Amino acid sequence: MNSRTLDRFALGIAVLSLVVLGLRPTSERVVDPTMVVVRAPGSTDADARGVADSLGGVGIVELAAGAPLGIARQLHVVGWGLEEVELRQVGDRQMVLHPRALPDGIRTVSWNSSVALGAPLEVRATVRTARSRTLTLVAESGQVDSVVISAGELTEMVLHQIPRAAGIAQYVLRLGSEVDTFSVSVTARRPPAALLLASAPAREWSDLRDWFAAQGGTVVLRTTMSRDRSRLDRVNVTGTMRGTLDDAALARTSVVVTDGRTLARLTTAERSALRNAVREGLGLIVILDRQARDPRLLPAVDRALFLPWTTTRVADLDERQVRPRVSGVPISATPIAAEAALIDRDRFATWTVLDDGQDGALATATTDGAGRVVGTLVTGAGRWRRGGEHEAFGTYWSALVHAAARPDPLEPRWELGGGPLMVDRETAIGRWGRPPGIALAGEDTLTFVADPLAPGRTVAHWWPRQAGWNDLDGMKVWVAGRESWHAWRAADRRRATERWIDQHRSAMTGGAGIPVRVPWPRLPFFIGFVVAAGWLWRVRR
Amino acid sequence: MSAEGGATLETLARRWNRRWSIAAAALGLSIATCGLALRLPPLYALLIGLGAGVLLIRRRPRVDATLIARHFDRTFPALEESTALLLVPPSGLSAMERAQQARAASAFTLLPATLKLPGRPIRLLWILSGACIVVALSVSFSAARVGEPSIGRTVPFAAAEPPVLSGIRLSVTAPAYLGGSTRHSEGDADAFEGSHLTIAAQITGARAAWLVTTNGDSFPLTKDRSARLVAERSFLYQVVMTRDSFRVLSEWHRVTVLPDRAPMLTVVRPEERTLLPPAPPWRVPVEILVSDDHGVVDAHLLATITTGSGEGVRFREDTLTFAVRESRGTGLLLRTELDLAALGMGPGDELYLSAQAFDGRRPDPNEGRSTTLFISIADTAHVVEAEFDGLAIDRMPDYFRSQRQIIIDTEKLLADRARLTEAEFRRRSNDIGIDQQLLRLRYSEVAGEESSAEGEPMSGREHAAEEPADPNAAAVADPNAKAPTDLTAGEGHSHDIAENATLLARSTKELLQLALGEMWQAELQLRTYRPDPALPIEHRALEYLEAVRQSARSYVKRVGLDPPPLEPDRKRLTGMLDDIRNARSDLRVEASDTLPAIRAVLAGQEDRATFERASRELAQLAAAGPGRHLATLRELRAVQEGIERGARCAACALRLRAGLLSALPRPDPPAAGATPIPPVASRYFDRMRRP
Repeated sequence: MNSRTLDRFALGIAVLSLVVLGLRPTSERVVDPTMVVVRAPGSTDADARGVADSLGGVGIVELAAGAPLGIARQLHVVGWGLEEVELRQVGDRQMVLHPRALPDGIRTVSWNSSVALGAPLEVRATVRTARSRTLTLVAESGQVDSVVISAGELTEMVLHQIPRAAGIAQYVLRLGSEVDTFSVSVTARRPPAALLLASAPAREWSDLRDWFAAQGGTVVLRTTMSRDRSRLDRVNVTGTMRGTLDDAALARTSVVVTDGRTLARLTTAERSALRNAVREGLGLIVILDRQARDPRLLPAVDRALFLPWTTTRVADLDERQVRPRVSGVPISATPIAAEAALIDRDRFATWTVLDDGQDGALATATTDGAGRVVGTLVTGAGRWRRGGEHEAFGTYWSALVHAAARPDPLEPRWELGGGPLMVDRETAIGRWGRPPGIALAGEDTLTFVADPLAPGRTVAHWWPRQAGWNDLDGMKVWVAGRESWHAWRAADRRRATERWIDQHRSAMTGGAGIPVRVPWPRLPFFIGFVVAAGWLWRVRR
Repeated sequence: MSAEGGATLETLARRWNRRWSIAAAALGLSIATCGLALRLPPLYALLIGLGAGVLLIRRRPRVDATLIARHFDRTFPALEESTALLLVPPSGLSAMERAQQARAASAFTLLPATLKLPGRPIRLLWILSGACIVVALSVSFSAARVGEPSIGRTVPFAAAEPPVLSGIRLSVTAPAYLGGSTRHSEGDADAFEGSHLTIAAQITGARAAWLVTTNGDSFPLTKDRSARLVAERSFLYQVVMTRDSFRVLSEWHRVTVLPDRAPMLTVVRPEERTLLPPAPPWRVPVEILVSDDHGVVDAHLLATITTGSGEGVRFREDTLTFAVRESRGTGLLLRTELDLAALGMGPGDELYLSAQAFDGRRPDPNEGRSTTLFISIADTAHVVEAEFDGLAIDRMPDYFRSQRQIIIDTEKLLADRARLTEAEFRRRSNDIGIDQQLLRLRYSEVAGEESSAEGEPMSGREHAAEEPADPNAAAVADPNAKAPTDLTAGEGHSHDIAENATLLARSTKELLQLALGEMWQAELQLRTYRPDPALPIEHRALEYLEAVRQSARSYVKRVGLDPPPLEPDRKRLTGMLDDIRNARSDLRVEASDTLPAIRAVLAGQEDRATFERASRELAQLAAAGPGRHLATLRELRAVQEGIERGARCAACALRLRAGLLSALPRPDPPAAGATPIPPVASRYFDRMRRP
């Protein structure tokens, strides 16, 4: 083949490629009307068109613009996915997600929307950023906690802050230039009525009594002084609370704290009353001393309730020094005495309240009926108090009491979803301490109905209509605007869509085959154009 | 006649000069009066007036008879330009001049009886004096009107006008020993401890006013609306004004008291411990650097000399002065050279030396002391010789430092490294290495170690390596090591000798061996001028020594009564309790609510009484650290005024809330009930609720 022929051939190739690339010639094809591409946020027109072309040129709809799905049976979602409300429109259709990259920022976030004064607010978040940045928790008084996010890694972290005053506290999560606001309800909780049963006088017990009393709580300390003789210390007791273990007295008590030796010395009637009270909702905290760990201490039926855990000895020690942690955070650098054992974690429906930082459980809680039983191996928390570390002492007992004590049924408590409240998203609201009924949320009326799963809880659904501060039955809550929590919204769409697909997977697998026609690929034409143009350019030179 | 004319001219000149002096003095007096009226310090005002008067008198125009004669020549043509001839005696004149003098004298007699001289400069002085007097009077009248006391008088105020505070002038007069200078400010100030404070408030429309401070004081502002107090500790203050139903509070202002700190003494020379040879001369140079915030007034050395030994030790105290004093800013560099022989010291005696310095604080000056320096003279009479395998070993005196001290010395050397010369740095590093060696030797004795060359003990490991070693290696490594006193010292070893054995347990001894090994390594680093790697080794040696000390405790057996073991399980709760009743106590404890007013403001209360209580609570907090909550106090006041005016400031309210939250203490961990749904059930319920 001579050079002239080659030149003409290259020219023809180049022209043909340019025509195909520029004019995008189309041909008549059969389109399946039951298949549509749904364009979701996070995708461009080109993304949606690309997917549609790859499916044979099917139609494109935007649910956010109100477009109907019509007779479509199979949806190809392009972008971050669909929201819960949009997923309801999907019905029983099949859905395929063509995900697009999520934006940098906070992917998941949750916090305890109702905090007791003195307890920490814990903001748990998962963040991913392309560049290293700092996630900062800012309270009204200024910056309170921060964490550095490594570039390109999905980082999970917890930010802490202890609100200083009761009321509505406003916080801001700042990540680079993105600022997202939320609010938390801080309430001063009434201390639970406590009954302390001590086997012998000890400073630990009087310290615990004083700690309850300093918060204005009702506390009775019954200390065995000798055979059939005891000492009764009653603080802030107005009624006839005598420290006896009968049904009436225990019904007025929220939490009982005792040790193994005391449990062993209780009469059968007292143990029976205690057992019944726990099943009715009483909290029980047992100090797992050496006697408590003796399997012969109690009859099997009582042991299964009061001491349901098994323990493992740590080395050949009588006592060891530990630095307990609550939620992974060390209480203090000062070690305190504990029994030389660890609580085994093999029991079902138990959760660890305190650990020793080395994967060993120091305090564990479990449920029995409506009540909860907490066992702790720590025996010397009073050292903190005697050493001036009152906060550490309080944190330790606060964790145990919070895990065990009977909830106050009259105390109002709100559950606002544990995440951001958004102006354009429906939120399920839970409420405790109030009967079912109507409540006002701004200009809307919410109907709270009883939750069949949790007696005492009522639920309602709220779709806030105004961003900013909203009044919810007398309580102020912050509702985020449409521009807030950008990355979280995207990730939430992805989670909801993936969850929906996962739940409907079985229905999709049974679908019939779908004819797909693939258009001419662009790449060969592009390469052809480049090669041909290159050849012609060489000849020209 | 000519003499009479000359006398007249002289008289006229004197009179003019006198009038000038009187006018200048009057002007000086007027200036001083004006200064006093303008509230300058009296001394300053008088000095300025006096200076102006003296200057005007000394630099007055040179007016004498000759000048007046020339003036008359210009003024009276009849004198024919010959008035000056009247001042010259006739004997000194020529005939022509005498004739002209006679003509001038006759013309002079025809002049008017009252001769006027130019009085314009003097009038100018009087005009200036008058102006100063006018200014002084106007200022005084206006000040008197502003400060007019209204106590006990009925003042026709407008019905709805509250008292107004137009300004606060705070005058701080430093203590006399700091110069006594006075500074003025508009409310906030820093003051030296002991300063005299005058707080003057410019108040109108108040029936009563007083000053309250966070120190708990309350000063009525009566006569001149000012309060005088002495700055002892920092405080905040505000002015309270009342009239009828009005009660107006000013902003809080701060007075931060700067305490006069005690002098700080740094010993430059000698080292903390100095050992002098038994033979004189015993001269020790001493160099102390003293610094103080306001200057050092006095400094001297305190010497305690111990002589004798055992039960016969005698102490003698003396005060020594410094020979050289050099000023270094507000401090001093003091130098002297001690001649211990002149102090009556001899071999075996010790001198405990410290420097003492005082600043100028009155009435009780601050005192600073340096660390105590130990200077001792070696005693030749106490060299002990002991028999070890028949070899005489010269023991060192009982002088060695602790491992902790060696660590401190090393850290100090590293800290001083930048300002030390290389030679000095090496010398000190080597000295510490010697100390480390001495300490190692002492512990080696305790551990029953073997002896190596030059009396140094060796561990078993080192012993094994010693055989092929260069016998001069130790001397090379330790240039300061003593010359061997016995040539056979390096030739033999003592093994398994009862005297060298100890009663320590095996584990303790092993720990001691480890400590000795670390000391050896530390010494190596120090003697090769590398204190940086030596420091962690020294720390490890100290840890081992501490472990030895702890483990040695377990070997101390208590001697005394060994009671029979208790049997609580069998005996407890078995006594006779017929006459013993159950004890019972009832107690009421109120949960204390700190800072209730601040919490109330945070909760949304906006009444005036709550704001004022919150202000007082915040002021009490601010008293602990003036300036900490001052901005919040001002925001509190601004928000309160905004609420009362009906013009709320949202930004101020946010700043106030932030400040109040910062002021609140961290709440105690609560004793709160559990969440209604246990954590283990929560996720299960969530899953159940999901459609």
